[in-house]
Amino acid sequence: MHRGAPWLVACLILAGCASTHFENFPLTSGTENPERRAVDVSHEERPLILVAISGGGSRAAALGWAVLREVAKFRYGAEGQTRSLIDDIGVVSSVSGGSVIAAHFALYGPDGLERFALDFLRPDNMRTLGIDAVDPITWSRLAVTGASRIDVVEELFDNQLFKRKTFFDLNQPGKPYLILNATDMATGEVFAFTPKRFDDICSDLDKELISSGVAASSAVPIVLSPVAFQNFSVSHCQGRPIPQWITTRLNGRFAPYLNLETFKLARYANDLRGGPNSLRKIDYLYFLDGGLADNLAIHGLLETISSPYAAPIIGARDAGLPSGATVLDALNTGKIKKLVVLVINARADAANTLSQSSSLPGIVDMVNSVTSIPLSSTTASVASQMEVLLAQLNAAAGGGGSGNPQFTGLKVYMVKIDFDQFGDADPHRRELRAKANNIPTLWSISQENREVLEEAGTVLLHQHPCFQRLLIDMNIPASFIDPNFARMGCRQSSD
Amino acid sequence: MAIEYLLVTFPEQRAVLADGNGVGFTNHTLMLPTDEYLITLGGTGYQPPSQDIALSGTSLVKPMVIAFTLPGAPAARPPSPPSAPPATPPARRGGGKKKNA
Repeated sequence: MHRGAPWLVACLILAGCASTHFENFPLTSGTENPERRAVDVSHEERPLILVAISGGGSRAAALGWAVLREVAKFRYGAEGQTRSLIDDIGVVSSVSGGSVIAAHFALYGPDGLERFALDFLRPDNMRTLGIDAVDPITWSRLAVTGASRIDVVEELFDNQLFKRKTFFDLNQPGKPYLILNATDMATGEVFAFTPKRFDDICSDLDKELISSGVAASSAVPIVLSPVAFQNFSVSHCQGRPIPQWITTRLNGRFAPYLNLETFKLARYANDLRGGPNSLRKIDYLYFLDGGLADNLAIHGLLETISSPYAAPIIGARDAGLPSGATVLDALNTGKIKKLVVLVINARADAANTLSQSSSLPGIVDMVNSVTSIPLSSTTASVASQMEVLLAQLNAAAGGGGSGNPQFTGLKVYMVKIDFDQFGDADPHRRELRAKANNIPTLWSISQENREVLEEAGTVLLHQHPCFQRLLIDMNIPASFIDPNFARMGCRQSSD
Repeated sequence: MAIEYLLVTFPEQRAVLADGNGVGFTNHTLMLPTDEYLITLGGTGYQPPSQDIALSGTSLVKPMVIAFTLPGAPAARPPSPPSAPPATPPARRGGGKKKNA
């Protein structure tokens, strides 16, 4: 019998007896999580860029990294200074693998992109995780502290990238608004690591480790354990008033009929706050991969753009608005003239032989279908909501309305990057698409695959008509621009 | 997600609040998602204190219009939607009277 076997058995037994490791902290009673970020919209020529980065392990992290690096190369003159498009990224929303690069970018900015490659894309993270998985010291520590498999992944993120930094370090002036999305395992709702959501559970976001949020966003079910939180609403925030937007929805005669989606969000927030007539009693929350609810992380951007109750991230002083304002407020008051939504989809469509085999699919194939088909379908549904919203904004911006709207002249650019956009005509691009689609979903990525994604991200960004249209409208020259293609493929209602 | 259009009239420029959250200014058509809202204004000195609206079925040329007034002023009748700017008349085709040279 192996010398280490008794030790391992003892640790497994201990692990079964250990209590749950909850990773959040209560707010001081009577306080709320502050919002310190403030997007400057006082310069009309600057676009407001919102980015969504999908799931997909290191494939998503690498694709997001490649696209951000490419965006940084495009510069324009503004008030006597030269500015990069990457400086205009005001919001980043992400799930799973996309959350690794999203959080790193939000924390360290464009200057941190090269370090991200060194610290995360080049090391063999799977080897590190594999070593930890069989290390007796790791097992015993997990058993004694009540930690679980996800904590090993969380330690990887913290040791290699975030170095014990918390959301306090992220939530600072000058930094983009970050939305790390996880899925509430009990309800299937999106749970974003944002100040407002943490207010709902009376939890202190400033004290939360960034690696905890990234881990929650990336907790692949079954393979990893969920990230566990306590809801402190009843124990620490008893008696606080319920926000008006929640009571209007839950008590309104028309709300459930006019906007059922927002009604359900209000009900979820009310449940989290332990409000009156709660549907569910929520004492604990268990978070899994955000991709289960929305693998494109678009929910966060939809709410940020169109909800009156979104985070007040527009700098009030700069915008000439009464107080910290929402993006919707800034759109309605004409403070935003160019709105760019950049969606980076690293969904891979790896070849399988199912449709070429006459043998009845087995249980593994069925499990794969049951998990991947609904995920793709939900993601596609949310993506189409964004397309509809932006089309409506574009239409509204065309003018001709009554009541002197101030959003006339708004320009809207939806730049959605997807491996399916390579097309079939060019053999090299077909090959690039095939290689990108076959990159596995792991926490490591080979140098060859990194290079495939670097090229893929660059090509897909450059060939997108709305990205070309943005460059034209901002007088940023680029050799790959085809003006007719850009104007026809990205029509603005003000054209 | 559908976008609706709301115009809140008031003799002065004020912030328009939907469930306590700023969404724009009075006297300019605003975009909001289809939903029910409790509308108030920034500051004080207006009536009624709030208006509960079910915002749906609107368009850019026909927004929902609600009015607030100064205290003591007669309650406003629901105003007619302001008309859209007149469309550019089509160019005349041939066949009309010619001017004499």
